[in-house]
Amino acid sequence: MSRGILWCVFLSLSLFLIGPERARAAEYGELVQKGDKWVFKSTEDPIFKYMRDTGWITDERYHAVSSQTGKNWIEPADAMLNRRQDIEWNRYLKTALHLPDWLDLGLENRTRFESYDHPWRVSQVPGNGAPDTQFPLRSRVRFGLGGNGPLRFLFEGNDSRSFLLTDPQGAFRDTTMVNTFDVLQLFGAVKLNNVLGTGLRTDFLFGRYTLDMGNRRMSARNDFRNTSNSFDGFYWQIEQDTTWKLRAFVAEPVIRLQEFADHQNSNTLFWGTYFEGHHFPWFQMDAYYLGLNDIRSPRVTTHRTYSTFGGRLYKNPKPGEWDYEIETAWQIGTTGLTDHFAYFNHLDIGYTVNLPWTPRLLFHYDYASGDRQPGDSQNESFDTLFGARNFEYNPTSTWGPFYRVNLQSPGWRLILRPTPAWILELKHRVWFLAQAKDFFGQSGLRDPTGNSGTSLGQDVQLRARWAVTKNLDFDVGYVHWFKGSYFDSPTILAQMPTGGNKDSDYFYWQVRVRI
Amino acid sequence: MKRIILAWCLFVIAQAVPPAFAEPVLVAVAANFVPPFREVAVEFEKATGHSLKVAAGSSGNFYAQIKNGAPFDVFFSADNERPKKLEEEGFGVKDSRFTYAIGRVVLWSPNADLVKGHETLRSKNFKRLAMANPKTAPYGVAAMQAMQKLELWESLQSHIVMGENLGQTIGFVESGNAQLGFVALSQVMDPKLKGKGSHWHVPTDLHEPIQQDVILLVKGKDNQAAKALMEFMSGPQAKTIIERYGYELK
Repeated sequence: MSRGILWCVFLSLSLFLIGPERARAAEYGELVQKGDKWVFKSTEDPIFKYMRDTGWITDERYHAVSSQTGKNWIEPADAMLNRRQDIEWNRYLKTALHLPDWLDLGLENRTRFESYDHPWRVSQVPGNGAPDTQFPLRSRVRFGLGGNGPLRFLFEGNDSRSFLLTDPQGAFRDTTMVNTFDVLQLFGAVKLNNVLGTGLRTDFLFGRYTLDMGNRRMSARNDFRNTSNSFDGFYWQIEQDTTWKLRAFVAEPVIRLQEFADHQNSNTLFWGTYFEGHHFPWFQMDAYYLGLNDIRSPRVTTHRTYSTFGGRLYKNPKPGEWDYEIETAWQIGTTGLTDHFAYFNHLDIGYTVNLPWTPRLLFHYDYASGDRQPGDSQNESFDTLFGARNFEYNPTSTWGPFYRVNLQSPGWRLILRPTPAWILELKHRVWFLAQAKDFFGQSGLRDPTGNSGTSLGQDVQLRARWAVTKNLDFDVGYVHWFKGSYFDSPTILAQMPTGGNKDSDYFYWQVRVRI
Repeated sequence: MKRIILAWCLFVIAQAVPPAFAEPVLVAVAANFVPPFREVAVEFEKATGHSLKVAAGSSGNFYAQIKNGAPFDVFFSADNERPKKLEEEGFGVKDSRFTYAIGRVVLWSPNADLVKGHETLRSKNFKRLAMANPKTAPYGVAAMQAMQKLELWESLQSHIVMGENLGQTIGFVESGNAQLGFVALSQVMDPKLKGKGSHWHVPTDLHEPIQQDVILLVKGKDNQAAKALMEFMSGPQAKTIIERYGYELK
C-alpha cells in the first residue's frame, strides 16, 4: 500500500516535471546544414523552456525573457563600468520568482580547485616548500532596481573564501584570496539618452563600484582572482554610440579586509580620465590619464604619488586578417621620498586563420621598467595600479608570479575555437627581469647586487574553457614554469622556501554557475 | 485499492505522453512576423494538437536555404516576391500561396513631441532620420516611395541613415543616434515600445503595399499538420492576432 502511494507520488511528480504540455509547445531554433543533412537546432534556453513547459511561466513571459538578449538585454547600472560578459546572463531566479523587468536579481558561484608545487615567495618560507593546494570559492549576489534607467540602483555582495589549507603558514593567503561577506558594489546611477538632442548618452553614478578600463591593464574588475578591486566615489561618462566614449572618475580605492567589513581610506585617492575612439576599425585608439595618491601607510617610503599617462592603439581580430595592439604608459611622481619615473610598453601582433576552429596565432612582447639602482634618488619600478594579468600573463589567484613591474617578456599564444562554446589555448612566454637589482614581481625576492642575473625562465600554459551556456561554464588549466638561473643563485636561494628553485607546476579546475 | 493505484498511474502516464496525432511542422518565419506568430503558434497548438518547430530569420536567407534543400514545410515571407519565385521554381505547392498580412510603415520617435505627421519631415527639426535599406528591405522601399511622393527624398538625403534591416533601423532610433525613423508598425506595437514616443502612420497611398505571403512548400504537401497551419492562418483566431500587431489583412 505505502509502496503504491510512493509510486503514485513519483509518477505525479514526473508528470509535473515533464509536463503534459511539453510535447505541444512550439520549439524555436534554426536549420543548420551538416553535410547533406539539415538539422533543426534549438536556440531556446532549456531552463526557460522548462519553466514554460511546466506552466511555471506563461508563454508571453517566456517569449519576453527569452528575447532579453543582444540589444534587448536589460542593461544593469554597471554596464558602462564592467565587461558585459561578467554581468550578462539569463536571470533564472528572477524569472522563476516572477519579478518585474525593472528589478534585477542574480546569483553567481564559482568553485575552483587549484594547486602548485615548489613555492618561491619569501612569505612562504615557513611552509618549507610544501605544495599550496586550495579550494577558493567566490559567491556573489546582485540586486538592481530601475531596469534600463534612467534612474538605477545596484547592490552587489561578494563572499570570497578559500578552503583546504593544509599549511596555513606556508600557503599563499591574503586579501586577493579571502574577503568574506562584503559589499563589492553599491551605487545609484543616472542614465540620459540623447542629451539635449545631441544623440549623446551620458551616465553619472555615485557610490561603490568596480571598474574595467581599456584592456584592463591599469584598472580591472578582477575575474580570475578570487576577490576584486572596487572604488568609492564618483564616475561620469559620455559617449556617442560605439564611435567614442569619454570617462572620468574620482574615487577612494576600497581597502579589503579578510574578515571585517571593507572600507575606504581618505588617504588614498585614485582619479582619472579615459578616452576611447572607435572611428576606424583598423586604428582604434584609447588615451588616458590616471592619478594615484596613496599615503595611507604610516611608512613614508611606501607612499605612492604619481600620474600615469597612457595610450593604446589596436585593431580587433577577424578571420583572415592581421590584428595588433600597442599600449604604452608612462609614470611620473614620487615613491616615498624618491622621484618616480617608470614606463610600460606592450605589443601584440596576431593573425586569425579563416579555417575551421578559427586558429589565432598571437605574438606578445612586454616591457615594464624596474628600479636600476636601489637606494638612489629615483625609483623606476612601474606600477600597474589596479590592473588584471590573467588574460595575457598567467593565472593569478594563488599562482601569478609575473607582474607588470620590472619585467620583459616575449611570447606567443595559439587560440582555437572548435565550437563557439569552446576555447582552447596554448601559451609560451620567456621571462626576464628588466633590472637585475630590483624585486622580482611581488614575490619579495631581490638581489640588490644584481649578480643573480635576469633569467626567470619560461612557462608553458594550457587552458580549455567550455561555456555550456552563459549560466554555466568550466575552465581548466595547467602551467609548467621552467625556472631560470636567477633562482639558482645563492642570494635568491637563501630567501626562498626549500625547493623554490625547482620547476613549478600549477593546475586548476573551476566551474561557474550563475542563475 | 491496487486497481485504483494502477488506474491512477496509467492516467498519469497517459497525461505525460504526447497525443498520437501530433505531427511537427517545420516553419520558416520572417523576423518581423515572429512576435505575432508566437501567439498564433500557441493558439494553433491548442486548437489542433499539432506541434511546430519554428525558425526565425531573414526571408532572403530562408529563400536560399529552401532552394538549397532545407526541409521546411511552410514559409512565411516578409514579401510576396520570394514565395512567388519559389512557386515558379517548383519549391512551393501551386496555388497554396496567399497574403497573410500587409505591413504598415510608421514614422516613429521615442520623443513624445517630435512626430506630428509628415510636417515633421518638412520641418527638418531633427539631425538624423533612420530607414531600412531599400536594396534589402521592403519596408525601406516603402519609406523611400513615401518620401518620393512627398517630394522630400532629395532634400532629406543628408539626414538619412540606413539600417541593414528593420531591427537595426529601430535600434538607431532607440539609442538616440537618429531622432526618428521609418519602422514597421508591428515593431512599435511590441509591448516593449507600445505607447512610447510619437508616431505617424504613413498612409498606404504613399507607397506600394508591403504584402507578406505564406506558401506551403513541396516538402510539406503531404503533411496534414502543415496543411492545418495554412488553414488556421486564414481563420479568425490568427487574423485577430495579426491585426492586433498592427498588420492589415487582405
